Amino acid sequence: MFSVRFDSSGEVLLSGRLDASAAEQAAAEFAKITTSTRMNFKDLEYISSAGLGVLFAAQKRLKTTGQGLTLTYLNAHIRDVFKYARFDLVFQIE
Amino acid sequence: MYIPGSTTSMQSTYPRTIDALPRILREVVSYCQERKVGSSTEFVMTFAVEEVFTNMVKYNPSGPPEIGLTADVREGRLVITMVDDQLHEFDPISAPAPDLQKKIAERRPGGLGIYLVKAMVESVNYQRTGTINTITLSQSVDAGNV
Repeated sequence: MFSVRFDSSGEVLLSGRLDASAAEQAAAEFAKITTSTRMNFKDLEYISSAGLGVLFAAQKRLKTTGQGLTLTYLNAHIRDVFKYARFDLVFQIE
Repeated sequence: MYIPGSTTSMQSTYPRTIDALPRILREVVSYCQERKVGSSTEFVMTFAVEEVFTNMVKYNPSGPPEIGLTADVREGRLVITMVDDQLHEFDPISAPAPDLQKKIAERRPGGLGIYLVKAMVESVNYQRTGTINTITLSQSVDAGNV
């Protein structure tokens, strides 16, 4: 089960498992983001390459207008995936 | 369908559709937890199963209706085998690596999944017998656990 929540401070909170079956839902939610945004991964358990692709597409779109995503609270496993994918070159990660 | 507690190994078939993914991942996670596989190995092998399965669905859409998966823990390793009857070879080992150093505007996300499987899984083996493609993934049960 994957979910996206936009909180009142403007932060986007992800939770659950962002796998290929959730990628379409994630893409529809991320399309709502039009300015630089902090995305909180605290409750995100899992991400696959389909999820990485959706995040990548959102970042690429935002970068064309000088905006971008800052990703926070990645768990150790997801941090490893980002390291191997060299997504540290693509996103600001805190 | 894998029923937890039923056997020491897992053997199942899954319909050739992305919609089957939540069930596959749920059953692999359940098997890992039952066999006390470390969380890092559970994550990496779940990731690998998803990538291989989605590639089998994507590149062999007209194949037989089901894709086979077995999982076993033996000699301290989690070994997962995925079997697909496929006219074409699907050899993830020979897939070219994406260029990860490019700037975001030039970078393409394609090819990343199988690249990550090869980077994170200790052993990825491909075998083709007749039209049967078999991919075997093997990881120490406590590799890199955090």
